[in-house]
Amino acid sequence: MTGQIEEGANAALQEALKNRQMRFFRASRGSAKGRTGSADTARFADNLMILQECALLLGEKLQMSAVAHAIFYEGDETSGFCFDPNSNSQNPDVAGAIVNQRMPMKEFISSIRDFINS
Amino acid sequence: MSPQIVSSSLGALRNAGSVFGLILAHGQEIIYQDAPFPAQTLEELSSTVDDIAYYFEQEGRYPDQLSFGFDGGSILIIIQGRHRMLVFHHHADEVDFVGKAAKAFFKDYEMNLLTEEWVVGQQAEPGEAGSQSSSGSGHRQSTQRVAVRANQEG
Repeated sequence: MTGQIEEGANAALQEALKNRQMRFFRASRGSAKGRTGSADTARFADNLMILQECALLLGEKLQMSAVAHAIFYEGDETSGFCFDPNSNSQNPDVAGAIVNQRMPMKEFISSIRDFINS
Repeated sequence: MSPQIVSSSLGALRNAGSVFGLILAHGQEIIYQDAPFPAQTLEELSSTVDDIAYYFEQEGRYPDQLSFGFDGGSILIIIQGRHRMLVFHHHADEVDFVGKAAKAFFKDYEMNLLTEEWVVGQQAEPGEAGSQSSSGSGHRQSTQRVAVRANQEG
């Protein structure tokens, strides 16, 4: 879904893809929520699980356990997440996004933090 | 690209901004490393990143740049074919600069590899090689030519 508008995509997803806008999501207690439809939210949840697993593996080797954020570029897409620092540290909430452009990573993280604080 | 040039190019990146470590690997084989971690940790990291790249490949996915922000610092991973570069840096804000520098290195590195392959290919062309032995690598043939020229000049 990098640039092409999915058949049957909801209006919010179509609008975001057309304007290359960030699609934001929240995840807590094993479930993810977003405004751009279940398929898009499932993609975010999939990316989130992979990134968390990668962070866990890398953190283990480096003895750095607490990951604050993770992002990646794949084709023309940027995807990633940040932990919400205002949430319960024992069971932290996560906010993340996907956008169909290679956005500067600094700007991407900053936008997710703005979303968390909004 | 000679090890000296690789070392010099990556040394510049290694000392830029808040960068505190760097690993360049081909698959799991470490080509260059300058990071404040024990050798075993570097090998394990290299192996882990190779596993991550392999996992994505199996899923038919090809991310080329990943960044992880930890409490103690950030890691930027660049995946370029079978090459992987890991850059450790303290300031998360530098991630885009570090990424651009790493990509620029890979452009030069790949250009050099292509040029070396091309030169070796030219030297190995039939009729061109003359009385040179058909065995041995292009690098060896190149060394022989240099040696002959040096003898003639001497």
